[in-house]
Amino acid sequence: MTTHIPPRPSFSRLTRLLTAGVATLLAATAVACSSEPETRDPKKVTRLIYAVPAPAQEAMNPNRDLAPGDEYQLKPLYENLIGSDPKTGNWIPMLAESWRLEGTKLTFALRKGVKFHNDKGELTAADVEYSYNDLVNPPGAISGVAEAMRAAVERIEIVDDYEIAFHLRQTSYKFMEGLGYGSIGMAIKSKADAESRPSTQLSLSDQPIAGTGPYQFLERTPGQRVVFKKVPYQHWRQDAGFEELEFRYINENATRMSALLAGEAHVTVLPDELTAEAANQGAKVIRAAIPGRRIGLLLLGCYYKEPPGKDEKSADVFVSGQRKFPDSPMCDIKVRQAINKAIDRDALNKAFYGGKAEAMTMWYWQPELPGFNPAWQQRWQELYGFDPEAAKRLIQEAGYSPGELRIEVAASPDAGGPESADVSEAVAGMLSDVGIDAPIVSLDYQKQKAGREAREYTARIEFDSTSSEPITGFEPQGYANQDSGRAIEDVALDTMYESVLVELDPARQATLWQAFGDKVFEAVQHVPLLRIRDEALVDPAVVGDYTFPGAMNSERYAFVEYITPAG
Amino acid sequence: MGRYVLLNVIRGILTLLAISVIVFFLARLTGDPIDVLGPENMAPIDEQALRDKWGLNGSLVEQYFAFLGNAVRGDFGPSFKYPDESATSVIADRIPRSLQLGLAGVLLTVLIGIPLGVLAAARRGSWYDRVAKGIALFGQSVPEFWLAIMLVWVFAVQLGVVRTSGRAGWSSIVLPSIVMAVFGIAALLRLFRSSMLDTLGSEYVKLARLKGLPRSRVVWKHALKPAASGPLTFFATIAVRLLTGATVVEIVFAWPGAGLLAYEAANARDFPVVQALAMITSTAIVVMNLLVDILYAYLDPRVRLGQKVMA
Repeated sequence: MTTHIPPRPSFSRLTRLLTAGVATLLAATAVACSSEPETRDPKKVTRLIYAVPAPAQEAMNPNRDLAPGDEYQLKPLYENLIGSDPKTGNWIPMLAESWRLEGTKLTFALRKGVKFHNDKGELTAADVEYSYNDLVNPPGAISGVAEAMRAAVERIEIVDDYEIAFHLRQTSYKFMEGLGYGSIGMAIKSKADAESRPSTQLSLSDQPIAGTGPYQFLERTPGQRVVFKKVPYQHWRQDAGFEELEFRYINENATRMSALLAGEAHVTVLPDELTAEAANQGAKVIRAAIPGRRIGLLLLGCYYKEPPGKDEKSADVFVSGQRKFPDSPMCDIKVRQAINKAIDRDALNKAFYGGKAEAMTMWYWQPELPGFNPAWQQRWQELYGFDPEAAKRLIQEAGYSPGELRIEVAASPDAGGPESADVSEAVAGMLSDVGIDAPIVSLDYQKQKAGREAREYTARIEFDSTSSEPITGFEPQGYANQDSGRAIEDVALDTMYESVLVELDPARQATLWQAFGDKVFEAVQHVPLLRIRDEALVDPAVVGDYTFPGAMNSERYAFVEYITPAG
Repeated sequence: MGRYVLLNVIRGILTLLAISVIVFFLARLTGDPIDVLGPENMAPIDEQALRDKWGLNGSLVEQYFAFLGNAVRGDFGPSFKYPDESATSVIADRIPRSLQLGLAGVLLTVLIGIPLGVLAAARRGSWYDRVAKGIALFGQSVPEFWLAIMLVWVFAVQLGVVRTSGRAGWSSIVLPSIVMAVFGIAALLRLFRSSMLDTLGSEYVKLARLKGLPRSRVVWKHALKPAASGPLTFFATIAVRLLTGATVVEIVFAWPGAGLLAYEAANARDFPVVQALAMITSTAIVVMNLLVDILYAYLDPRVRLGQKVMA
């Protein structure tokens, strides 16, 4: 028989040291964790760090190589002809001091004395022409505006150094949007700088072509950060608040929150639940000036038999009464109204948005912007407001007995927000409560989108979230001449919308837009749910204020020059 | 021996071919990159130009053979996520960063896992042994992302002694390397404890004790060396992880290595980068296994004879 006699090396001192170390660490942690959030004194930093999720793409040319949503990584460098008011989101003059329309000739008077970065001269009409050509030629730009620009512009005329005219095939609001500050706007770049480069194809180690923004390019580390510095002169519009600005890429929400609370980042954006947690820990929440994010439900199934092509109009192709799905319940306004009346928006607000969201009367008409009709708010309860009994009655009037009306509810994660699938499931429950058979269809968003674009769904509801410019944003949502498949297709509405799109006079356009809104309101095209103000979290010791209109999704991480230091 | 090596090389090439088919077609099953990277209403003329540039025209079979032909020459095509950069250069930029983190993790694994395992065996049944077993259980069962977030919260946010994320100096590597090491520490601890227990029970160790050698010398010099041969095979697993990066760790800590790149490339449907990463990783594993097979065959002739008989 053998006996195991383990040798016993002398390590009692080591053990004691380890135990003491761990105990000290735990005690220190406990003390630190239990401390109250402290009031921080203003802290001067040279570099403002804005922690953001990594973009889908990194590139050096925002006009060609960056899709909407990724263009923010170079936005501090560039400006556009038309700007966006940081308080209202309204269009305001930017590099163009003014513009005038004569027939189809749109002439822009450029601002004088605007400097390009790195001593690349001053802005002239030649830079605008270069920027346009860079965007549309050769084909292959991933920016969302190339098609609208190419389709609209017949030729460009440089009147003089400070005046440029676009001769348009047809007046086009989408063209105007393409010149604006939004996520797809044409950035104005220095022609002289571009022509001094050996190649127009810029790699990530190259300097981007000079712009006119309040910040100029400093450096980029792919996958990690892009850094800018304040221009060394007084900027014509807005002096940057910090000497340097860094977009730091941190994908994980919890890590971004930690970086903010640890003082490694000074601004970030987080999901609601972490926003509240970060605020409890001492971060300051800055809310957008207007509720720019708008959520609602798309009603899919009421399609023309054949959709109009890109160059066709609905009125040309629609044969009255001929529908792809003649029996689609979505073509019945009573059903659309019943769906609206079945939804308890307050409950959704409390459950998924912490009660912070605001009522939305119409999806694409905002009270803060031209064209909104206050009368809609007065009639809201009658047509759309939560009333389960009225919903049941409307379903009966539409010819369906309880349980007979079947409407699928798509539940796709990330269909416009992390909460999308949960909201969709709640909506399905509310529809069931009024007697609609509402099976939940869980599927990947890309699959849902592909089916919708193929106009495959007879009667389906899809959650959607938008923050785009309202008039052009309406197009993929409510206009049939698109391959998005989102609209309740209606010739009268399409025709009215087409007239809005070609009107560029602001006053006349507002009148047309409101008249069109009246029809959309009566037609119950969608299920408008809620409006949400974007929130940015800042380190109060570093950041004093941050003014942005509230369309983080389409003008994401923008208006950074309006971030001011604390104190 | 030559025939044995040749057969293994052919097997390795066939494996890589099979992997290339699987990776290529699985990537395409996720959908069209234009849907993710392009705007919703992209003009057909722009879309077509982009498809030409990215090599997305033609049938899938044609695309596959174009990919394979280029891949053999080390060209995986242009990255979709990083326009005007090749997939190979994007990956070459990231792998050293994963190696840096991986090496730090391995160092911690070895420096902590082996002593803990040895001491647990040397003091079997004691409270120390029980604590070590608890550490092993914790290390092998705790989710990496949870541990990572907890460590960030305590040591970076509350105590402020290290950085939360990114790659900037020594303080940014401490937490991710600890998280990377935790699983390895637990595994090595268990393996060394078990192996040491066998060794410590052997006759020659008892003889050494009877001859009056100090306990620590018996453990650390005479018992550790023979006990180490088994657990060291575990390093093959660690070596692969070292090369490919640990995706979860790199995401949580925003560590810009190959693991984070793989995650971002998959999200962006950057097929060339996804395919290149998969092929580079697979090639490394195949080559490593080939070397191990050859080494076994060299050390133990029965292995290659067995192969010969089997062949």
